[in-house]
Amino acid sequence: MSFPCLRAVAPTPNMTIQDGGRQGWRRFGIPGAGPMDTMSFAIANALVGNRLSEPAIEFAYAGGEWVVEAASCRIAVAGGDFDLRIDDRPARAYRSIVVHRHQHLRLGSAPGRVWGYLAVAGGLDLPLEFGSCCTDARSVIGGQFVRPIAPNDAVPLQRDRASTEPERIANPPTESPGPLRITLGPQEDYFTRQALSAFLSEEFKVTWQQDRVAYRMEGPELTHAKGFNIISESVIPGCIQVPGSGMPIILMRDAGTNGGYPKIGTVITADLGRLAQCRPGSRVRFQAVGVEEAQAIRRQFLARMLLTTEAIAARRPQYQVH
Amino acid sequence: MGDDALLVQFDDAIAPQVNALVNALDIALGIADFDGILETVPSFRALLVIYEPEIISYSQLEIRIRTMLSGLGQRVETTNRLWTIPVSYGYPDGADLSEIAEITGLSQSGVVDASLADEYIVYFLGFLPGLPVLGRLPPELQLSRRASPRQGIPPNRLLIGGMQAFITPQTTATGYYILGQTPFRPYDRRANNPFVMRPGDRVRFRAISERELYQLNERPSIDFLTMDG
Repeated sequence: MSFPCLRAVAPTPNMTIQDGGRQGWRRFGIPGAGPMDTMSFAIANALVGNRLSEPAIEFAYAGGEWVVEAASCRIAVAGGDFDLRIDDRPARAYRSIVVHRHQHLRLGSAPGRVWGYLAVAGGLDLPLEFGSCCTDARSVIGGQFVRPIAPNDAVPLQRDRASTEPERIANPPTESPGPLRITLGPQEDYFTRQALSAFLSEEFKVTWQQDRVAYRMEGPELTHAKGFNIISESVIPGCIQVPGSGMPIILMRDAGTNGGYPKIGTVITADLGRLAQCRPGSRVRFQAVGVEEAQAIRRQFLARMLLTTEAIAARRPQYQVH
Repeated sequence: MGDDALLVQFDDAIAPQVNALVNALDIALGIADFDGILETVPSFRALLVIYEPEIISYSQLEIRIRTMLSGLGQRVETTNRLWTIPVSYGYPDGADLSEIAEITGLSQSGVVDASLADEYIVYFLGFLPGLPVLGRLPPELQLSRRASPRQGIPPNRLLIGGMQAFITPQTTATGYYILGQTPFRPYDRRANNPFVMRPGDRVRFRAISERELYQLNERPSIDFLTMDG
């Protein structure tokens, strides 16, 4: 083997390649894919000095074991305080670190977190498919990685050797514990008045049925007033579909492009990553906001992402902006 | 929907006239090429517009779309793109064909004849990469989905369910019934043009034997397209 790579000696399930996602292909039935937690993904890339949309490895709950097959490379882990060991010695998430050939990385779990990101300086050397190298296992699309990373897979690196430069450190981002903000509709009129009020006032629990396609929630039954079939229409990540069971299903990054259940609302961009990071059993509430407010929150979210990642990249002290 | 998508809904019906409006708006938006529109996604009766609110606000976009809608008119343009899709009915899924016959009360050849009688249109591509959603089925062939979906339905199958027919682009799980197999490949991820059908295209089926199926399997899918009229 001659190309520099990270070799997955013991991958965990649902470990995939993600970049900024696919755009412009939904009309052909191809979802956008992309990181489940965009903020953490951007921080991982900023820590190693990459463009924010550079491909990185996404993992769920734990990041498995890797062996470095390059002279050296600079890596960083973000998404949570994941238990990182290099040759069995503890290392930290949220800081860049150079690892060398034959070194062994073990990525355990992070308290209360689901999705983590392993980024490599210079990026991954992967072919694009439909403009992106994101693994979309449901659609069987992704260039080299159309399925989750399997044992012994080699993830090719752009660089064979890490540059010499000071390391970067990030403050783990603190997330507001508030309700998940949603915009109502387009089918809020398919639900009874009681269902709408329960949806906006009661707690819902994240269940074990959570993956890159959808999160199934449990809570008060949301009763339909007009049946639970609509003429199928285009959906996006964040859409909250309510099938006949009355239990909401929130669509995530790999959800199919169309859905035939009434949508009571859509989780806004700023809160979708926050929902993604909720473990089963977590309790969430929904709060309705208007489109303009949703867009104001989105601007703040994008500004916070930019400020945070710029400060990391420039090795400046970081402040929490809320 | 959310902070970066707007859904334009037309009449609440699965009908060619309604879908034609969706496609007309889709095309008009494509030509206008407004800054800030990232993608548009047509379906039966709605067009989803995904945009960048940092570049175009919801209200600006809404005004532009309303203006555009008033200029669209109600005339339905039909395309001259006609697909003649060969189908080997009941092969190799004969059990499904006899089930369809049983449920509909038709004979097996009655089912085949019913599906051949009419022309269909491609309403949109969706659910899976390149999956064409065709409609509408003659009333006698409209049946509900199975109670629970079956896994591992192979590609190149003509499926029916509700008012629609589908051609599977890849292996999938579905509750729909299999009418037959076709040499037509609606999606080829390795091809220069991975998606050959377009919304609004017209479709007819043609019954073929198993033998012809194997012969036609070697042909490129575009061979089944003609321009008529």
